[in-house]
Amino acid sequence: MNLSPIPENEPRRLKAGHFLPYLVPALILGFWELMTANGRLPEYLLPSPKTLALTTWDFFWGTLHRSTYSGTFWRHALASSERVALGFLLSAAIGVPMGLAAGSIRYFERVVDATIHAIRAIPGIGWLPLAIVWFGIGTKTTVFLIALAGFFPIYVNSAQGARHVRPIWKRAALMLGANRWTLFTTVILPGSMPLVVSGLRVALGLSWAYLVLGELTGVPDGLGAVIMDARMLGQVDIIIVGMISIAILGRLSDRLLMFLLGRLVWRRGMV
Amino acid sequence: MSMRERGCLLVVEELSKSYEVPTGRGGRIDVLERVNLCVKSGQLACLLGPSGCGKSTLLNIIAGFERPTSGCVLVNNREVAGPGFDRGVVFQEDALFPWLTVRDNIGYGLVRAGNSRDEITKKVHRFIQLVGLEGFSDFYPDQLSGGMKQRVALARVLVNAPDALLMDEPFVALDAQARGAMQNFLLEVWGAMPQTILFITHDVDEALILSERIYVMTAFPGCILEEVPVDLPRPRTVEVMATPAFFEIKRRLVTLLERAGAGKRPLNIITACPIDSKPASISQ
Repeated sequence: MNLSPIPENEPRRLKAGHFLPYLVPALILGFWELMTANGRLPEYLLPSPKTLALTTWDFFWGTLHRSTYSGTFWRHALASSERVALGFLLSAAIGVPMGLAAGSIRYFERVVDATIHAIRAIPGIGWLPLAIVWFGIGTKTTVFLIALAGFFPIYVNSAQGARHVRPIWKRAALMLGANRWTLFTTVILPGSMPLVVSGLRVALGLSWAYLVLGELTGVPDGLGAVIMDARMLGQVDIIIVGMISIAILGRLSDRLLMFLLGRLVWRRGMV
Repeated sequence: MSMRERGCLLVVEELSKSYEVPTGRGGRIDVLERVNLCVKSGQLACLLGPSGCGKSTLLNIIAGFERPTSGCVLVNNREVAGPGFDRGVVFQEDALFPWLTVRDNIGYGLVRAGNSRDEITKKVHRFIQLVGLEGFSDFYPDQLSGGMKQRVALARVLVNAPDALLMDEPFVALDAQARGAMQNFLLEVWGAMPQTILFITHDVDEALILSERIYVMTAFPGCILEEVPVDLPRPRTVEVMATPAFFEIKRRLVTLLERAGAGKRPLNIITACPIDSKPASISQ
């Protein structure tokens, strides 16, 4: 009988394999430099890596005064992050309980599931005109779009998670004296956690996509607004910097979500 | 009513179970037919039968996970109406909660029953010791071997002081050596704190090593073919297992199992059930 715990991972050694993920980005960068050097491609179509690096620095820290966007990253990032956080929390607050309920209570599923899937078939972008009519141009519309887009993956995954909680766990819990409510809180909830978490991650990713959609409609601040404004001003470097900023924030928010869930969720290695 | 008079803690009376055939025209499959059994307090009884004979269904009904079509189950003179911790179940598959540590798995039932924190800590500690898992309290089930998991599963039900213990082929997933070790371990625990146990198995040797009484089941419909008392001395060492008495009972059981024939019988041919369906005994 094996009485020892699982051995720790061996310390990582540097190998050639570790550099493989950087190969493609390096090739792209090289090709890009080649295309823009000596004005082969004009700056108004594609700025050179160097221009972009300077613009990025300036957008973040504002020390170079290259444009009206100098040092404005933090203001826009904050505005966008607030919208994403609000929309995402809304979708999670509605999606997780509804999904878990649909996955564990058959009658509830019969009542709501078909309708939800019908609405899901409407692409998120199709809601934009109606959202503008309802909420006007600005934050409310953006938050609405994010919450709507995030709801579906959260609902679908949570329902799937609850539906596939192993029946033997439920039997064991009932045998040990659980009632309907404690069965839900102590078995169905933790048992469906892996899928709930993947639903939340997908939704958070989508949130950033719908953020840009909402902000394109003309709000004064936010990274989506920056991109749209820069297009009108013909500043391609700012457009690209805005895109990169969203990529960074998207990745950071995913890490943050995983960190918070890791503290909340009961078990290592479960998420 | 004779069963109740015999001082049985766990009584199954005239129990039948049939399922409707899902797509048929109102067809039914009889899974269990007029099953009677009686496990006395502190007795370790085995339910032996070929796979598919309905022994798991019977155990699920006793545990309260399923309802019988007719007949009833009495534990401590109370009729079983649903699952509860007066009947602890050790399942064949790993049924521990993977998101809880060994400690919290064992304490799960105590928390549900509303015990105080101190009480839970004390009891859980005692039962972790009983099953020999000191030092593993904070481990998660997936960090344990199959045998250790089943020990936790055993502690998790014993800690609630159940009236009866129902074990559904709990060691079948273990390798031969671990299974032997767990059988001895179960007997140790049973010796230390006498429990009424109904143990399901399809393994003649396992039944013979463990039990004082063996109910042999047959399939389609499942019913008790015979009730065989095992009056071999304990501990059932290799020497005991080499005695003529052991072989006599084993021969008897193997013959019965052959008669019980593993589920190949067409549905509506004569059943092997004893005509009066009263468990017959081979002890004169």
